[in-house]
Amino acid sequence: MTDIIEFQTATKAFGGLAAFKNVNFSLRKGEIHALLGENGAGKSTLTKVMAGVYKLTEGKLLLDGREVSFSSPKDALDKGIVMVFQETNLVPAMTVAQNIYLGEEKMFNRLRGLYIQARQFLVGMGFQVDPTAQVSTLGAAHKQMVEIARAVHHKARVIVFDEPTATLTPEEKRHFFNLIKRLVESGVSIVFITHALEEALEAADRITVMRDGEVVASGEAKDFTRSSIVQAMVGRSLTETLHGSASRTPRPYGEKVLSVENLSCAGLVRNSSFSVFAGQVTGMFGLVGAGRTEMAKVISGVMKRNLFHGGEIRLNGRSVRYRVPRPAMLDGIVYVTEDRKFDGFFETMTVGENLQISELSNGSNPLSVVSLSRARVLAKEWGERLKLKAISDRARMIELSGGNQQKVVIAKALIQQPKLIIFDEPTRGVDVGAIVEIHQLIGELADQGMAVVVISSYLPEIMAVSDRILVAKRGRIVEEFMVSDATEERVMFAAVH
Amino acid sequence: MNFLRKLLGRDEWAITLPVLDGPLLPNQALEEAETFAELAGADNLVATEKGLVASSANRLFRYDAAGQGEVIAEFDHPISAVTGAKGMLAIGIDGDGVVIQGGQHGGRTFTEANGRRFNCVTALTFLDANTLLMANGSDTVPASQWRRDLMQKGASGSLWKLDLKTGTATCIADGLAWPAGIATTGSNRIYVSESWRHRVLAIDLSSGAREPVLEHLPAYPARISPAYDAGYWLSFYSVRNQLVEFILREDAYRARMLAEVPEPFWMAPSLASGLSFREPMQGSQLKQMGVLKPYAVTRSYGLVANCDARMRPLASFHSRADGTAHGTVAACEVGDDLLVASRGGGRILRLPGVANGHREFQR
Repeated sequence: MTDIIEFQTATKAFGGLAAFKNVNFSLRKGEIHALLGENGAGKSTLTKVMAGVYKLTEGKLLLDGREVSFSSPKDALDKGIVMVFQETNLVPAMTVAQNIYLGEEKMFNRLRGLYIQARQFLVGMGFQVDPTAQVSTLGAAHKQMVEIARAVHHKARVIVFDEPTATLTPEEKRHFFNLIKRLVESGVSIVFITHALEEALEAADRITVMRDGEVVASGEAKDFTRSSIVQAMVGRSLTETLHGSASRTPRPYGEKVLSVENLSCAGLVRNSSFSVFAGQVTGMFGLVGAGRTEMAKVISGVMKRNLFHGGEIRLNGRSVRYRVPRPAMLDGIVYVTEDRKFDGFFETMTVGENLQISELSNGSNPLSVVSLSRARVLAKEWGERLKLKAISDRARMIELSGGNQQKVVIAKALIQQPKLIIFDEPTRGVDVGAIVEIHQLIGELADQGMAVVVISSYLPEIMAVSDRILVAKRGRIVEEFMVSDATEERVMFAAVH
Repeated sequence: MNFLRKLLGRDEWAITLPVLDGPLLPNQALEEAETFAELAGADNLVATEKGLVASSANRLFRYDAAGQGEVIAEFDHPISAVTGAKGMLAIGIDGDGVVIQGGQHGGRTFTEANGRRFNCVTALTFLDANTLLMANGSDTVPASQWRRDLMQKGASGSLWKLDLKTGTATCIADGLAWPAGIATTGSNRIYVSESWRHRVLAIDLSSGAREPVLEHLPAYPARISPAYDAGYWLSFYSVRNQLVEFILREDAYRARMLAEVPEPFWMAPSLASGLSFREPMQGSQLKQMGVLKPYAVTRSYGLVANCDARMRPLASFHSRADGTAHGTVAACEVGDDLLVASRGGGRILRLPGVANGHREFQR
């Protein structure tokens, strides 16, 4: 088989930070190539370069043996390379047929003709999808079928799937893999990113494992085992120096602060149960889509209550069910968002103003009197406490580095004097120095007797900060370790099996 | 509001269960424990100066350090509770009150007080040499019918202070849902496990005031015995499961089950399971994601928890659903070892070094 796509010592850096470096990767004609690795390993960036979203910083990308540099995704599409994202790029308000032929509209369109043409095309591919159905009414599997149909319609030679099976049921998955096998038989090459090792071992011809932006293992799928993949995914040296060793004595159990019993939520969290204890850091590890953020949002009232589909949440033994975050905050639960830029602060306001907004919501200022002097006091007090490095007291949030922005978000949470604080990806997009400080702060909060939950997809972080590690998978807590018993391999094994 | 909560299945109407996690995280410690002695229906462990005392049905045994046992007493009815102190043994006889053997109060009996018969003595503890604390699990059923009391949602249990000098009995607390264990704290407060409400209460002996100290347990707490470092060993009948919780809300179904189904085959917690193919759910199936799977609800389980002086669980020892060391209703320390009576498994287990903080076992 000849290589259709090849990366030669390819590097892609964002502002000096390499997403991947010196990567050699090849995709043969008519093969299924699985790309594995932890979150942040560089898989998505690599495939996005393939699909023309990014350009390489260094190295070469060869298509059919000739060096290419795609100027845009359209450019890649014209050359037959299509990327299918986890969240589909379909227009929900349009029908299946309209989505397939999107961009090819004529001055006057005859819908009936379009539907007949689409039906013939879909039947030809063996897809049982009604071309007249509105996309928003379709399930995840059918949406994926439409995406694939669209890709094939665009005469795709290479289709890149980013976590194609994350939202599919087992039967839908089987159907999906039958489908891609048929595509491969017709000469299409497939790259798929997945966290499910079984899928890679069963469906792929070749497997490449990435870690910290480098290819650490690549070869025929038959030469890999589950354990060898897990070992390749987690065996690292760089992160140990950053986060320290995990072998330490966990803090003892305090009072049970939170008890989640058989919680279900909008298909994302399924019959999940766990407890959180005071004076401990409870780490919650799982791959993206494991339902951890949704659990945290339901607990803290951030997610709408009508998505709460059963189960009980008990705070200090009392059953609670919040419709908005404020009563949760008043009861002592705060959630530190994973998306700070969108949910965490007002970027054009100063640090003090942001902190005062948080103070206004905790009921200590019933008349909601805004005081600039109070804002300055808060900025000074919390700036010192969290070692905030701002340009000036009046610096706006947008002028702060990611690490300092995150510290402000944490300060906003701590102003509420919580009993239970949930950090969601606390060091995402934060510089190395701030990571260490945030980890120290998390430890100090637990030492003060607070119940702390840290949600992270980054295993070394979980190992570094947690006393107790809960592993989430597909909306459930599937395993629990004390940090003294946990190894990266065991935790990762629980998360992917 | 109660109607609304019931309709929506919230709060006490939610059929949800606390999970066995944190200090109650399952392990194989009881399953891997060595057998100290084989004893069918092993129950009521008490460490005395002359050796370990244990009961089985209506006989009382004494064991030496090597696990060799001898019968030291036999009664007409099963023994439901035993405790010892100052050379005395207080023995609860199922349906027949309490009898004291040995020591200065030997021969004294308590069978009723205030017109109430002590026919369900579930726990005994000496407060001092002249005072005995007694839990009467129910006014309506004997101790051997604990499952009936649970399935009838019994709450007629009471706590008594028995004066061994005068022979008087004083009721301290009433309306308890099967008080199954008592522990003293060295003060006026005592701890009482209230099994069917899945909690441990602190009760003030002078005022009778109650305060829950450990609530929402995932299992039915049984006896409490003192542990090293001023802590406690809390043993459990079995774990709770959603099916039983559901049945407890279905009054009509439950009434028919109690009337028509023989007791061993009730869908209720048990001290042992897998004894008969006619037991509920053993051969059941569950279709999950289109795949038919064998499925059985856990009826019996082995669980002993180590709690600190404030009754907060610190660690636990399990025999899981696939094990046999189930129905671990009594535990006591002998030297550095913990001995556990597995009533369902018919043996006394020994966990070496556990009473000295040793904690190494397989998950």
